[in-house]
Amino acid sequence: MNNETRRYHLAVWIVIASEALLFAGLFALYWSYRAEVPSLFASGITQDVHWIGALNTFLLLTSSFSIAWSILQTRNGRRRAATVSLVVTLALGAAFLVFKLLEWGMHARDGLVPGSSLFFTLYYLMTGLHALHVIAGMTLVTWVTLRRERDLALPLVALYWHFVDVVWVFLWPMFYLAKP
Amino acid sequence: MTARALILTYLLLVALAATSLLVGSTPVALLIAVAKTLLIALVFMELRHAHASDRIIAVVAAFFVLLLTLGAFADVITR
Amino acid sequence: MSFWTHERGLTSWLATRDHKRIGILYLATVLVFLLIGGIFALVLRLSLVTPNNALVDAHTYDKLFTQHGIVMVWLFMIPSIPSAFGNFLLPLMIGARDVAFPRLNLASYWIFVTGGIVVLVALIAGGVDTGWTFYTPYSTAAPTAVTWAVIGVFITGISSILTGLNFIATIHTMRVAGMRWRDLPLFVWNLYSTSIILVLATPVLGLALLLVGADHIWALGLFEPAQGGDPVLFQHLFWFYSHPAVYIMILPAMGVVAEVVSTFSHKRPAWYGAIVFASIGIALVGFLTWGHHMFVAGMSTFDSGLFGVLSMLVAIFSAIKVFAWTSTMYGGRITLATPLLYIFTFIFLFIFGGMSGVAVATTSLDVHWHDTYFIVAHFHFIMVGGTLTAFLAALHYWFPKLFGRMYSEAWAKVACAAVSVGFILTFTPQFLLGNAGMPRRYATYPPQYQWLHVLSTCGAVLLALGMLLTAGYLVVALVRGKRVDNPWRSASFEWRTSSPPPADNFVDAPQLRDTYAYEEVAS
Repeated sequence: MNNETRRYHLAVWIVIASEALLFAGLFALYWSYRAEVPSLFASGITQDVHWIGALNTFLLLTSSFSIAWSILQTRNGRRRAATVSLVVTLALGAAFLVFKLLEWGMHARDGLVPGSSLFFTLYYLMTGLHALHVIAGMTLVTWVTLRRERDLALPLVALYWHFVDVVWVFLWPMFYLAKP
Repeated sequence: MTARALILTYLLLVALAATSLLVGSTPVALLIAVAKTLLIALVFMELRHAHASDRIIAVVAAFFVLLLTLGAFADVITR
Repeated sequence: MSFWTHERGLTSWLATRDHKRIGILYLATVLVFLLIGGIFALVLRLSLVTPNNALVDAHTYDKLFTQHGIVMVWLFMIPSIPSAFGNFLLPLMIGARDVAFPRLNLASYWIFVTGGIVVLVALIAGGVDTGWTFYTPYSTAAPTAVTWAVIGVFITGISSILTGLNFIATIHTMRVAGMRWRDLPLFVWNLYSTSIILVLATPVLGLALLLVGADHIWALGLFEPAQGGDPVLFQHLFWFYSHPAVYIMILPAMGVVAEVVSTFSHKRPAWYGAIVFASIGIALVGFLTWGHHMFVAGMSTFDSGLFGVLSMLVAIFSAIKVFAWTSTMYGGRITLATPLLYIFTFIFLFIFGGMSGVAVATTSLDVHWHDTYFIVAHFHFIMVGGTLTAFLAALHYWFPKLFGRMYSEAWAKVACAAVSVGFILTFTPQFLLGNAGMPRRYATYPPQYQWLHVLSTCGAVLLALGMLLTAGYLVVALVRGKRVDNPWRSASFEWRTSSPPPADNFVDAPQLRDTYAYEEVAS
């Protein structure tokens, strides 16, 4: 690994660490409130749209695979295959956002909006902040797809995309699966 | 990073996700999330082969996320 | 040709990627904010001369102490030493041509300026009266410009994170060939520890402030007890950043102390390894102590006990440093120049403030002192006094490095005496006030406290005069100062290139040499 590659990898890892601490603040609020008012969280989790949560998990896990696949193809010199993989990643990200919007709409129709209860305030804050990160990640993936030179940039963008996936890996049980 | 490792990791991730659909208990769900994170970090994010400093950053970040969460949580449950 | 004259014109400054010019820009900017924050402080002190609002009414008083805190913490102390001197010196000290990401460095500066301007907009938009801590639930309901202020501070936070990222990447990957970690100058080690805190703690502050802002706009009730919210949780998030923030300020200051003590004792720093260990130790342990701000906030006794004990650990690392600095001086050939005199003040304030810190970390005692002037005096001694004296030491020590000119040592010593005596005189009475029961953040007080308040205000005026004098002779030195290259005969890496340095730092490719080779200089 040359010095430039190393420098950029280090920078992206630091950004990820920093972003992780941004989410950590919300994680701390979630678990503390969950311990204070467990009943609110038990009923909140029941109200979330479970099939969308599961589907979105599947979409993001698959997108993590497809972007990793595009790195492999880039290293093997197959640019076209890498491009296909990247476009698939983008499509999966977009699908995730569409379903997320659908779910927010369903909640809003039921009167579950930010401020309606602690659980749903946290739900909107955390999934909203995560969705912003998905959009940021998609912007980066688009940028790297259009780039001529991908050897340095693609693995860096992929690191960020995987991080966004990891955040969702925790949001899923917290908001859809694990009742107190 | 090989094709075989990527495909195996992906299948394992999907299998883990499916398992957590079946089990509703909080500790198990969190353990599965941690397992998925490790798979993504070690294989997809290539932390297995990363420079030592990158690995240290990842561990330190995880530690601080836990520290903040547990620090506040410990206060609430011991009040 | 030096970096000053290498390129000319306004754009060559405002769009520069040269870390030295960015350092100078930061220096000029933080000095402006120091002036603004200082004026707020002076008005506060003058208003406290009589028991009943000598100068400003109670509500204006609330806004003034809030703005004083916000400006001094986020716009002066956090960026002061790392962003100004760190930017200028870090590459010079490790033999690099620039930082790892020069463009990001420039972006970081402009983000900082943007954040600073937004904070000042909050001031114009009616000011903020929540205290610099933005405690909920008041901050989410306060009828003042809270949203502007939190957005401004959030933006400066982004700048902090980018600077920290840049420093870490620079130290990891830009060292001159052959320079090992154990060859790093101590100032660099301290910048490294600070950077770790910057990238890990700042996002939590950013989040906490965004939540306050969102709550203020949309009334989400996240921390509102009437809606089931828990205000103590906000304090957890706030102090998870704001306690380590103290070490963001003091660690670079400790780096300055180590460098100045070594240079003016003409001696290699004693216990290099111990200082490095203590720097990293403070950065990490500093993260385990945030709860000591919340002993009386309704936090559990379990957390209080835990955080109280962990807080005292910091004293161990701090003591290691104090002993290392004093033993560096022991047996050295000491030159009593202004930078070292400021360091003496630093060490005095640091020991006094640190000892009072151990006292207030004791939960039972803190119940008596919490939210009184005792706390105000404690953190001004250790955090403000520490940062300010080290900042002034750095300004004098590296003045010839930055500008290639020498200031008047005689006037500098007079100013140093005024600043040191003024500072101690301002805050020593506040320890007594707090212990006697005077709460902080009050515009009025019972008459029996008046003599201590008057003493404190006298100190503040003396401090202001000292700062004014400093500004005077430094400006004169900029224009008429004697041209010098290495007036302190320092062996450190940054002095091996000319003063001021050329645009790309070193004329010839820099060679690794021992940073503290005073044995050679002496012979």
